[in-house]
Amino acid sequence: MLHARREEWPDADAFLEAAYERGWTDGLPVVPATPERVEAFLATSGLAPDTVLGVVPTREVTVTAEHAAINSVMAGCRPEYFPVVVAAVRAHLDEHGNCHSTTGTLSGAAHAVIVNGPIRDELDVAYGAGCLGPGFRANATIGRALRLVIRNVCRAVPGFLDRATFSWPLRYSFCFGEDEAAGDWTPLHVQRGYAPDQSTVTVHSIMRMVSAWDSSSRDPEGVLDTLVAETRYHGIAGDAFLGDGVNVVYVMGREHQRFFFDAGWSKERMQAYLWPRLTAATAGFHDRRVNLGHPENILIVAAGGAGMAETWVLFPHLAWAVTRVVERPGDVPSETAR
Amino acid sequence: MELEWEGIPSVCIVHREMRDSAGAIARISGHPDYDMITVDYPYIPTATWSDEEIATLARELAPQVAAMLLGEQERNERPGPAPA
Amino acid sequence: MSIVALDPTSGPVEGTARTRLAPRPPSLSGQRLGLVVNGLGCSERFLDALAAQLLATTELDGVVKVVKSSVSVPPDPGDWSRLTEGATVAITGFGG
Repeated sequence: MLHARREEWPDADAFLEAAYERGWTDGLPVVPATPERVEAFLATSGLAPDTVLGVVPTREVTVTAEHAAINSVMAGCRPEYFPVVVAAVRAHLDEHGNCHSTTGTLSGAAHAVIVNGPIRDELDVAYGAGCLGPGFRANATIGRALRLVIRNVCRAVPGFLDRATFSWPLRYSFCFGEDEAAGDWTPLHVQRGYAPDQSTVTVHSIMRMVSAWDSSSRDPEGVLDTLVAETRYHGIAGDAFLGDGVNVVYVMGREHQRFFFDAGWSKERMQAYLWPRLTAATAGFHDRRVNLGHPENILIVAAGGAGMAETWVLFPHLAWAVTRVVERPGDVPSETAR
Repeated sequence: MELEWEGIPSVCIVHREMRDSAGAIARISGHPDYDMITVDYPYIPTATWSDEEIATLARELAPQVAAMLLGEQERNERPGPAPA
Repeated sequence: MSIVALDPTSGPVEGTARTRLAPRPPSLSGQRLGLVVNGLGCSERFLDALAAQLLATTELDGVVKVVKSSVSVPPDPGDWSRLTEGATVAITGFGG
């Protein structure tokens, strides 16, 4: 049984105007969350409406599957996207996802949702050319659903608990997949302990996102040295709450990937090369230590199309990158799942 | 709020730019009228203040803090003083 | 055709207070001042200066200072115990 308050409007226009007046949207139109649609979304996850996905203690908020389903409908998701949204909400509401700080901060941190596993192709989650931008329904609406949950359920409304000085376009939506077939790299979720046939979501709270453009290097070391320089230009400070669990994410495009595939470099070898160079002591104002506890805290994701020789650096904001499995009724648990 | 609930009278000092979010937490916690001391410009939030600015602000806020710990002030918003 | 839609929010903002606010003491004489430093900006230097000013101008009996290990979390359990057992009045906050 659904618990949310119901209201009736004479038509779609009246609903939309009411949604704007009540602050239920991010500024873009929303789809009415009819009880029938919400029920259909919940059915794809097998979750009861009152299943708790997480809490935000500071805000006295408990997020349920029903909350997530309502906001997923409003975001424009298809019903089959909903289990991915559930995994993203659970990841964000993990203690080390740090909802309160990352959604209330002056810095306006955004939340990257990285999808791995077979569900990417089932749902057409884009991971090739243009995948970080507009034009892909799954990417646009899954990322937006998380943000609407953060706004409507977790109360991160600008001027209220969201105190961002500028905020960020990435706060509308930021979701993409990993191009797992680009080469022979181990996919992100497998590196993090999940089976290749499992689907997962990794949510990474990001403080800033920088393009490491390097069209001169022709070998792995050259590209990685550029990543080190771009990352150390900003540095990543330590935090006692986050301890040694802080991550940096490199979303590497094809023109950089090819040097590693040609030379037979694995992600693990890249992590081993990067880690001591990133964590070396600060040497100056724009050569700062990157506070990463372990080489595996460096998350490398293949994505994007051909053309520009660039890799995006996603710097963390007061959270770990948290991975959660996408669960659907009828899915057979993998024997190698963690 | 947790200190108040522990029976310890407290004063919260916030910058004007944090006032709304601090007030939001007070509302969520069931104390919408909870009083705070607000520091205003030209003190810039999250900036480095000079020793002189800090000394001035501390000197001027101390009587307000003492009064609020004793419950002597009315509960309303009052901006902090400007630096000398 | 009319539309029935569900409220996407977690409900009213106004929460229910767990207890009343702490009763205020008749004077600061003999009271011990707790300081909760969040580590942002100048908070520690400022609260130190404010505590010094209050010690000089009132009959406070001492200061119990705790510095949060991170802006993201409450004081550590040990610091919280030290604060709640040692302080009788307190100053918190400052996002600056």
